[in-house]
Amino acid sequence: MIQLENISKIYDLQEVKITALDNVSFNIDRGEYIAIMGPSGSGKSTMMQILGILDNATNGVYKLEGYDITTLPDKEQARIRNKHFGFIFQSFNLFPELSAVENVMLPMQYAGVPVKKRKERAIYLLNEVGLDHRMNHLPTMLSGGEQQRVAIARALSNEPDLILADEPTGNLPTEKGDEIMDILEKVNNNGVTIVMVTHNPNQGKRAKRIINLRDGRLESSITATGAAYAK
Amino acid sequence: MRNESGKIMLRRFIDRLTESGLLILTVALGVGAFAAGGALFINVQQQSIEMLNSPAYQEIVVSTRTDTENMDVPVEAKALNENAILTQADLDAADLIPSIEYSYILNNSRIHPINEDSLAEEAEKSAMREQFQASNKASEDTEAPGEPPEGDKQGFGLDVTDEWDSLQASDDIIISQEDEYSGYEITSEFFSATKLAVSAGSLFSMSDYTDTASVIILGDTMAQNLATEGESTDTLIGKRLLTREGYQTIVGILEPTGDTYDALYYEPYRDSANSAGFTGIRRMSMNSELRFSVSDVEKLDSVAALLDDWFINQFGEDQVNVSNPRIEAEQTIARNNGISLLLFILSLAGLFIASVNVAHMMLSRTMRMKKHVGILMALGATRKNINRLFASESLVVIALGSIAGALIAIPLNIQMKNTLELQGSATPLVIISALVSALIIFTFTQIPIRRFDSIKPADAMRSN
Ligand SMILES: Nc1ncnc2c1ncn2[C@@H]1O[C@H](COP(=O)(O)OP(=O)(O)O)[C@@H](O)[C@H]1O
Ligand SMILES: [Mg+2]
Repeated sequence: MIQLENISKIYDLQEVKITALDNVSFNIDRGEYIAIMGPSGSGKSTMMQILGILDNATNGVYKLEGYDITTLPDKEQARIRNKHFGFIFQSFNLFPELSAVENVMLPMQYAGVPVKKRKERAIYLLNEVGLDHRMNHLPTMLSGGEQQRVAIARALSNEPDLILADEPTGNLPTEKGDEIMDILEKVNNNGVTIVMVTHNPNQGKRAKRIINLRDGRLESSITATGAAYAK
Repeated sequence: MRNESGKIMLRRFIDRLTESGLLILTVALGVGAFAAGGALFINVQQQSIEMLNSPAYQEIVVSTRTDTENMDVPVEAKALNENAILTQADLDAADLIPSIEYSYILNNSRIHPINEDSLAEEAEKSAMREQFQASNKASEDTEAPGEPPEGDKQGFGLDVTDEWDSLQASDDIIISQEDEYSGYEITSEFFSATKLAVSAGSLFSMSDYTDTASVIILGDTMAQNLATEGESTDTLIGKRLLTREGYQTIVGILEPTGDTYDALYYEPYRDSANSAGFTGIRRMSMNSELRFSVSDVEKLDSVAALLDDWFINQFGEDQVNVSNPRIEAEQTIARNNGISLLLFILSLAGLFIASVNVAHMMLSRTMRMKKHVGILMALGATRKNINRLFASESLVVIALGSIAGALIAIPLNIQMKNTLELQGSATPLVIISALVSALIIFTFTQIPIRRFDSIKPADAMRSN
């Protein structure tokens, strides 16, 4: 589904240049469940932003279904993010002005789904993540775990092909984190590709492949059984 | 609000009510200032042009001098000074001055319709008169009879008491419920000088100016006032209006001008030589006015000087008054232009300050939404979507502010218009100026929003 070839990301901070990613290449196949691991500052979040077309790589080629997407116009990039990607962030990033249902409805607005259908699907998704009793609550009235479940429902709203989750359980207590992991696993079982950043080795083990980053370089890419990933 | 992104904006707007209110107030003050100032300025310009183009300000007015309003002149002198009587013959002055295009007489005139009210009033007065005469007779027979009550010497004019019923029934007779109508006694060139034309009937023929039969031409609104409800004013032609001054045969109706001409009637001026002595006396006491219209306004002053010489020659010093209304008009215009220009510049300054402030406030609102922008883009909003979202917020704020501003400006403008004695309604101008200023403020607010044009969602999301 995705090919990354020699991706580099250099943050130019006037006095210093920080190489956040250094010649990283790997592929992602449809239906995979990948955990990106590595110490703090190793470039995991930068990797996720480039994967999500939230930022451009300084060098390298990013192909989605064989097409180089880095040079696409803003409108096309927005459309890909909207229809094909779903984002889950460590800090949830829900809109504080909108209720749970409205937060889930928002991406469908940009996909042109009529308001009635949006609402139907949002309610369905919130039921799926176990929030049937929290539909009209504002994010501030929800617990961290509940907020992250709203975020997952929002990420799923346009039936994405790829979920990008950057430390989705980082702000949650362990048992709430496990609930989130269960939901993501279920989503993956339905055929949605997942790329997730985690610090937690137990969570990493639940993925089918672990990509290790260190100082912006790809250190290793191993399958869940520990075998080196060839491709 | 059916869109989630719109709901975000709306709820932020309501949550920050004080800030939003201030923003709208700023727009309202800027728009209000400019709408009032701009409308006044345009209004003054329009009126100046209209005034200077109007025939009334392209002519010299010659009248017998009345010192009645001049407190310094003793009463005896006032009477002495009213010796000159201006007549049609004096229009000959025009023949000697080539710059004069038209010359005519314009005298105020009044007619009083006969109707049930006026008949009742007359009956009452004649009863009083009889009573007075009876009591006079009863007292000393040797003494000369006393004067009847004042104002009744001339009687009531036309007496129709006996034929009233048949007159009322007649299709040919128009009975008006008004007390009186104002109009002008004019000579033939009046219509050329004022460029008035008939929409029905005809202007006066040459014989209308010499015959004794009363004929009148009606201004458009007076005609509408006389016409039967729902009927065209054309039907009035040939009918006779019943007045104390006699039957007035309507021969023409003027095209509407939107000016004071519309409410008046016009009757032919007849020299005292041609008509009864009674009208001659009336005319003298009403102080005839001659008008000399000049096509080239540059020549007004020299024409005035020539006319002055001519009339001094004719009647002596201090008998007639030669005046140039344009001079006064130009002074008024210069004063109004000065005031309105100053106000316009001040209002422009107000609008500019408001625009800069609104743009700045909108910028700080949008910058606080940087993280929102990042998340919205991650979820699929294009930069165009984002720009539109902020633009629509600006539009709503500016629309609300502009409505409030126009509501402030309309009474302000009416006040100013009255102070400067301007005519016509300027409210449409206020609304147009309000729209223009709204557009200017909107343009200002669009400059900062473009700052999101090159931002990456990742950068936007990183902010707080
Ligand atoms: N916007 C940025 N500007 C400058 N440096 C950045 C920026 N984002 C990340 N970095 C730097 O790039 C490196 C990788 O950061 P990041 O991808 O966030 O690591 P991780 O998510 O693995 O902790 C770090 O040294 C970090 O300081
Ligand atoms: Mg990180």
